[in-house]
Amino acid sequence: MKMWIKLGFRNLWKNRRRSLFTIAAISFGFAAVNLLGGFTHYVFRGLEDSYVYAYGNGHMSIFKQGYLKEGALDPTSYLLDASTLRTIIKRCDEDARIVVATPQLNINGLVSNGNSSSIMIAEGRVPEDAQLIRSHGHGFIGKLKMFRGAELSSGDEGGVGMTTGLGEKLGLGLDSNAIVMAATVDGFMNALDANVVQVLDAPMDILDDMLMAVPLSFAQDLYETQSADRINVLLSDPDDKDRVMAELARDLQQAGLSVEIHPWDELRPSYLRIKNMFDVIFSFVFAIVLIIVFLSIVNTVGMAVLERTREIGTLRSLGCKRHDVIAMFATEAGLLALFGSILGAMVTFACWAYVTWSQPTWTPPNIPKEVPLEIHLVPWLFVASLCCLMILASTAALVPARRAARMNIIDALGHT
Amino acid sequence: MMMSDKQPPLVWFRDVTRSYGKGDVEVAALKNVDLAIASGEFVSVWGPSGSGKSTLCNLIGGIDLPTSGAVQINGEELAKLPDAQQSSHRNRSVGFIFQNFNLIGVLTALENVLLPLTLRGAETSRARQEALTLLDELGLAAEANRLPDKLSGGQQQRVAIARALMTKPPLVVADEPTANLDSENAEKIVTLMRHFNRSVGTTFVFSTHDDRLLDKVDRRIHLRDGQITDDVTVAPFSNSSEAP
Ligand SMILES: Nc1ncnc2c1ncn2[C@@H]1O[C@H](COP(=O)(O)OP(=O)(O)O)[C@@H](O)[C@H]1O
Ligand SMILES: [Mg+2]
Repeated sequence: MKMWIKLGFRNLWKNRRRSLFTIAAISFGFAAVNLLGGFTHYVFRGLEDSYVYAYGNGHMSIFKQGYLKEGALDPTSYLLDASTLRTIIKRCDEDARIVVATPQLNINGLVSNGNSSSIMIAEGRVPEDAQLIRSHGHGFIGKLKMFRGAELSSGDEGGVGMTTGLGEKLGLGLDSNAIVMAATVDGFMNALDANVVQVLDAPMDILDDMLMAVPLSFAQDLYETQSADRINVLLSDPDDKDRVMAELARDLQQAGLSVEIHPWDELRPSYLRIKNMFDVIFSFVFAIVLIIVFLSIVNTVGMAVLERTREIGTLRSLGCKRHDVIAMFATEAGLLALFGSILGAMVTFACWAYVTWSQPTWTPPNIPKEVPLEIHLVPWLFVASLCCLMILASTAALVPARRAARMNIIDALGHT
Repeated sequence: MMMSDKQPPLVWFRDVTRSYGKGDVEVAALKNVDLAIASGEFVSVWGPSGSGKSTLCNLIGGIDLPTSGAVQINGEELAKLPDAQQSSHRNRSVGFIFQNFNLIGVLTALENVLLPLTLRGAETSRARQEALTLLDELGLAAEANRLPDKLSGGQQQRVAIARALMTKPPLVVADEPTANLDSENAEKIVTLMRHFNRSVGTTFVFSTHDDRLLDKVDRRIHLRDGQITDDVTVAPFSNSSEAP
């Protein structure tokens, strides 16, 4: 093996121009895969963080059993009552892995400027908890504000937020007064005065002319209830998600509660769709890179076999076995992949450094704001692409190397 | 390494034919050859171009197999062995010297000499020492770390001799080892082979079409059209030693 590495290295050096072309092709492929992978990682991270942190939904949400399926038709029958909320929050507070568990009540009804009204849906959250969740976001997400104006506050129950579109529709802006109307859980009409303290960026276009953000107590007062429809749970380490979920489910069931717990990615169907799309794009690029590397290795090793036919004959006459001939060329190809990957890692790193330094911005599909565009360095992807490329290169070398190994010795020696 | 008379000869051909091509274009390079070479002999195979010298050397060296008949080298009939065992036979029992030297271009003289041992994973520091001694003996002490393309033809062929002798094989086959050399270097090569034949007892078979080299050998096998037309033992091979 040492011998094949030595021979491979020297032969690559001897034909350094050709080797360099192959190495460049491999490094290009390596960089393409790792840059796209790094960008994909950033996009997924952004999707996760914007939903979990920026919009304040946490890593998982706890609902009354059946809320997601039947709750749409009859939401008020699927609320978590005050004592249930207390039990759940108490259980969560005892768990050191949970940063916060906070109730949320979504309401719908009408909002009016005094003359005309429009339908609205509102997310009622504990404002301080929502801010706490937001502040746990990584990097720019932690600083991202999805609104203009002031923070909502428990102390100012009537201070609400509304989306730009809804505000324009009703001629309402910051500091305007509005009336919010809805049916209580018992079916009576109720109305509360509100003051617009913030203008929101809607997470989706279709919500832009109907979404509002209100303090939880406002939502509960309007509905005349102490209940909430969910509890959002934020973890300090997202990797604990599955374990915490299983343990919560077990404990809450033992406590006699009939609840269902869903992780954030199940509650955000667009995440899985976007993830699938990126997975397809990534697989496509990866396949193209593998094909390019395969072909260039077959070509390079094929030329080496042709040029070194006499050398192969000599080695065989000295007692080199067929599989040794194959090992020799496979090692050489493996070295090409190794150098290509090292160069590719350097190219990836350089691009990463450039992007990090120049801080370009863009508006991603999931956040209605200009945010920094990043490329993440994904160590496991570096290692995986190195291994993939080395295995692929050695395999590609088998095609010409087997031909070399099977050659008749005297024919090989007679070759000039 | 020396064998008694009762043991089979080191090289033994029985009714060997080697033909190239098929059907109408079939050419018999060797026709029904019988031959025996004993251990310790110093033999030349000579004859005009196309007479079958290379074919004979290839069969003796185990890099080719007969079309019909049997070839036994060092007690083994190669045709009956699987490829991997043929390879290790070549590695252990035969040293091969080529007309065009065939050194590995990216390896130094020393690495080339060690190559047969490296191939079987037996490259030890003692072997390195032996290789250096061997190179020294061949007048190449200063060239040990040079690449072949920095060496003259005569030097390259001496490296090739060292490579062939490195595994201490009972048999060394050289196919026109002097054809690419001037007469001075040619003589030097033959003298060196003779030296190792006498000092170590290695059997040498070399082909040539240069009859000036023939007075150095014990036995001359003359080939013509693929057949042995003459096989003369000139002198017993227990001659007095000659310096390289
Ligand atoms: N690979 C081959 N294919 C076809 N014919 C060959 C081949 N090698 C040798 N021959 C023929 O066999 C005969 C003997 O060749 P060779 O053994 O090379 O003779 P020499 O070495 O004495 O010149 C010649 O007629 C040559 O043309
Ligand atoms: Mg010849």
